[in-house]
Amino acid sequence: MTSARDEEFQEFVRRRREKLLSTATVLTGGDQHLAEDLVQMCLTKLYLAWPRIRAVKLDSYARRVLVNALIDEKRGLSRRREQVWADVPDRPQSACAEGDRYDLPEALGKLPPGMRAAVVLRHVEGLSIEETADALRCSTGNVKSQTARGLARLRDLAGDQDHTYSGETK
Amino acid sequence: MTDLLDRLASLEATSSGPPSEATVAADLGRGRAALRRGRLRAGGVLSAAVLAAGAVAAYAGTAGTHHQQTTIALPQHGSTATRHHQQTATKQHQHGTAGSKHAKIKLVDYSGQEPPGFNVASVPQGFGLQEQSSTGFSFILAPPSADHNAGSFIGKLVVTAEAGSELGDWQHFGDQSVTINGNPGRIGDDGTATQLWFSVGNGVVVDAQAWDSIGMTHQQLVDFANGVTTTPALQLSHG
Repeated sequence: MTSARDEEFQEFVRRRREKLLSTATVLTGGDQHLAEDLVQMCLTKLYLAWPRIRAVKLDSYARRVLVNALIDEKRGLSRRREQVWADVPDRPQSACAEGDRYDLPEALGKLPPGMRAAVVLRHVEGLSIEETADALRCSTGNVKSQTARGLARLRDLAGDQDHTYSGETK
Repeated sequence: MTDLLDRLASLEATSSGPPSEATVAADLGRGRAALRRGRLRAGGVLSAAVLAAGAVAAYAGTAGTHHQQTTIALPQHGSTATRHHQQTATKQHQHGTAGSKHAKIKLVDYSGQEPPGFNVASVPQGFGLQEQSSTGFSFILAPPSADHNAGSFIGKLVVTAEAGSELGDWQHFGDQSVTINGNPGRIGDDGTATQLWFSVGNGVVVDAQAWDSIGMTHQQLVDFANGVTTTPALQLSHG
């Protein structure tokens, strides 16, 4: 039997899942498996909270849950011990567009999660400073400083990667 | 600079296409399953309450209320039966269950090994330190049956110290303001876990996360946090 909650939820998934996955993919620095995990976690939480959030801004709530899931995941990763391997693992070539000087998703993945979320929501998703602050539950001033530091760090990383790819010395 | 912003904006165009109906159904199935688990948990607690109330009534009928408070055996682990007894029992040494409506466990004094960087005064009954989880900036308390994966927080109580400057505007996290050892804190529940952030001075914020299945109330988490202090050996989590 399908309830009103189920119908509304399915409609939301049809309408917004693709966007959530796109956002999660950028938030995870291009890790599609982790992005899918985060989206599934996010949607499950949305379903559980549906009766009390259906009347609020669902997209905003979903973004907040997604960012929290990312930060929780990062905290979990930070607790995992470093593992030593005998061989250097194979790494697939980065999926950057032809002509790109460096892999932007990979560079984003090197930012701390809070800073990365601010940059992604503000400059990839195109949210306003106020909307980003709402999603991150922080002040607008914090969004400004995090995005400024994030962009500066990305420029630094771009320099590093240019250096790596071109083989030039800096 | 403009180039970087353009490149960031272009990332949004990446699309995997609309979800299939199978994907939609799977998302719905996960949500329903999670809801069912929550209801079963609540139902189990309610059943225990009914059984406990029946036991108390039966005993009162034969022995009177004078001894009822000391002769009914407490369940090993918290449940509504425990809470029911605690609410009527003679004053005993415990923390933070007064006024609790959903407590499934009680806090007891902790005398085990302290995690590096912290001192802990009380823990949920039956919980101990997962030593391999101690990093100098975080630790995990869990029952012996819990998995030892330091990256898994399910059924555990996780404590992490972070630089407030990296955490952002944490004073607006959660839903409610609390006071921990005289310092400001915030507490909230996202439907999976209760999270409490509180300042310990010097710009350091401690984050205590209790998975909902533990059955700790907000007040119990606050009481637990009031027993957590940091030592000079504390390090800070970054990122």
